[in-house]
Amino acid sequence: MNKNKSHMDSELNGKAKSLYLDNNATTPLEPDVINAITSALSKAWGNPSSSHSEGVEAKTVIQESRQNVAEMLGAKSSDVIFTSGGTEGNNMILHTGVKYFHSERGLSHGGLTDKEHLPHFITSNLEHDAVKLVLEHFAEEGIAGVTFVPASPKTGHVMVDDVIAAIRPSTCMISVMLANNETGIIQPVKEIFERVRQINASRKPMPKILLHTDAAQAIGKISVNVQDLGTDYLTVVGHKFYGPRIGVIYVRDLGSGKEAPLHPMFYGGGQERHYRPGTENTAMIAGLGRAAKLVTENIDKYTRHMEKVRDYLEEKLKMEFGEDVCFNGKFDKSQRIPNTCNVSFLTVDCSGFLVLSMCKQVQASIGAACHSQSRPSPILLALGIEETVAKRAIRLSVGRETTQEDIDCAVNDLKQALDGIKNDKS
Amino acid sequence: MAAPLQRLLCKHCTKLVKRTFDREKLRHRDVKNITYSMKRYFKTATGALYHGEYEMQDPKSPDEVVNITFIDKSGTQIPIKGKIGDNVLYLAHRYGIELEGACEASLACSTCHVYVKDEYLDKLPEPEEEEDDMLDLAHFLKENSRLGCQIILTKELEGMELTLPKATRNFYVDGHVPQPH
Repeated sequence: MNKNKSHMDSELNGKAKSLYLDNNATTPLEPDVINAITSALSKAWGNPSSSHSEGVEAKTVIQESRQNVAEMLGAKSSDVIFTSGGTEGNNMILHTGVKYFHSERGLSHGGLTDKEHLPHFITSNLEHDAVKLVLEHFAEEGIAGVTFVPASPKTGHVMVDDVIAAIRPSTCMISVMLANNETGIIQPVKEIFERVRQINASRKPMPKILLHTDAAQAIGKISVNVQDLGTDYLTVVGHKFYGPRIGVIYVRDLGSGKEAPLHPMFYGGGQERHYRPGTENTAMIAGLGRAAKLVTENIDKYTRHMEKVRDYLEEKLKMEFGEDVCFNGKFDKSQRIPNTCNVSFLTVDCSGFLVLSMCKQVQASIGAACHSQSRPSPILLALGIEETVAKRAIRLSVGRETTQEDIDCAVNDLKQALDGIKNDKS
Repeated sequence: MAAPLQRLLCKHCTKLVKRTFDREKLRHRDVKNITYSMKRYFKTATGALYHGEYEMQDPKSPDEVVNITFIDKSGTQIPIKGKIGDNVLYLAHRYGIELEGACEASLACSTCHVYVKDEYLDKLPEPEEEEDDMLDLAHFLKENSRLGCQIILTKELEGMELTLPKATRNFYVDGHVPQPH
């Protein structure tokens, strides 16, 4: 069966095809998703708020997508709000935390110390910039206090007890990413949230602590269910699971007034029940819904395939390079998402970026695409990996179409790149 | 004969200064509203807490016996027969010594504060950071202060003398004063 693998088979003047191993940075769109988008562009172009048939057509497309995304997460469609992406989603949720603190505490007694006047956030030191920089900004401006709980160098993720130990009376929100983009390590979000729920119950008169997880890297790779995780908020990012460049936020029982609040950052036309006004990006929403449907139907298949290919990759690397290769983030005590392999080649003393630039086929990166490609990754350093090893790190993230043959070619390509560098230096 | 060179600080003060200095390094860094919590607890908060059942048992053989002496607030010497592995706090409870252990040996208070006789101080293992933190909060702190709940008897500690301080600080928030138990 010939699938449309144009993104894999880009033939350049009859030379070997490029091998895309950077799926954690972004993924190509599934053909099915592209179909949904183009169809919506031509057929559902009306303004979804209009009452005539053009508008209604567009509205229907959006509602169907919403339902698909909700099903993927195990949520109700009324819990789903479309956004422009993960960054907007994270910003919205964190700002909601601040406003929630002040609305709950506005009427409380005076005599609070300086520390207690500020909302307090707890997060890990592995977060994406869309969470980390927001919180650093809050701290700078005196909007909130933040505790960055360090991940354990023994497991590669934050430990439940460390997060619990950081809780203060003024804590209003805890945000822990579900899977890290550089190492792929899955954090114990379910366990942390379970404990916090117990703490919420026991400190009853005090406003409860809200729970958020950025699931950008996890969706489409492992099964993600909001009931199972016990989270109040969750960030979905389309372009990580073969969808378009928009996102979704999930908010538990949104609008019911009992569980999690959501405070809008934009004010305007009232779309998305006033939570996120702005005339809807119907076509992309259609694409996202289709991508979500594919995930719901095939997640087990995707997980198994990615794991098989990634494990094969690590096996081949070990066979080819033996002791000269070091897998970063591979711990006995923790799980990774099934497609990520963060590896350092110890044979040459140069940055991982240089190795990749010498590759003829392999397309990968050394870490988050939005970070500088020349310094060692701060996340790897935070996990206690030595700087000499961290600077050599390369992140290989396989995808749904990556085959074992691709891996064979990739390993050979890496080998020739490393040999090339070694010969240059000698 | 020349007079011996005076040290700037006595041996114990040097240790105390070093301890304080090390603690400063590990304290939370507060960079304008940001905390990078650096403490790592290797014990979980809900780890097994012992309640003195072991200390209630008599030594099974004379080889196991460790004799120590408590000196209470009024100066009375109370010799006690313990055994290897006994926790000093629970041993004191067994024999009705007025050593309160409000947090049940979980390093969350300083009510079992004792002064260890100097020669035995070095025989004890170095205090953990959590113990030092609780000791910081104790009244009448001295260089030979330790928390009784962290002292486990060994044969080396035979003949140790433990003096109770004049008062301890219990964190009761409602003014309750506990009966010694």
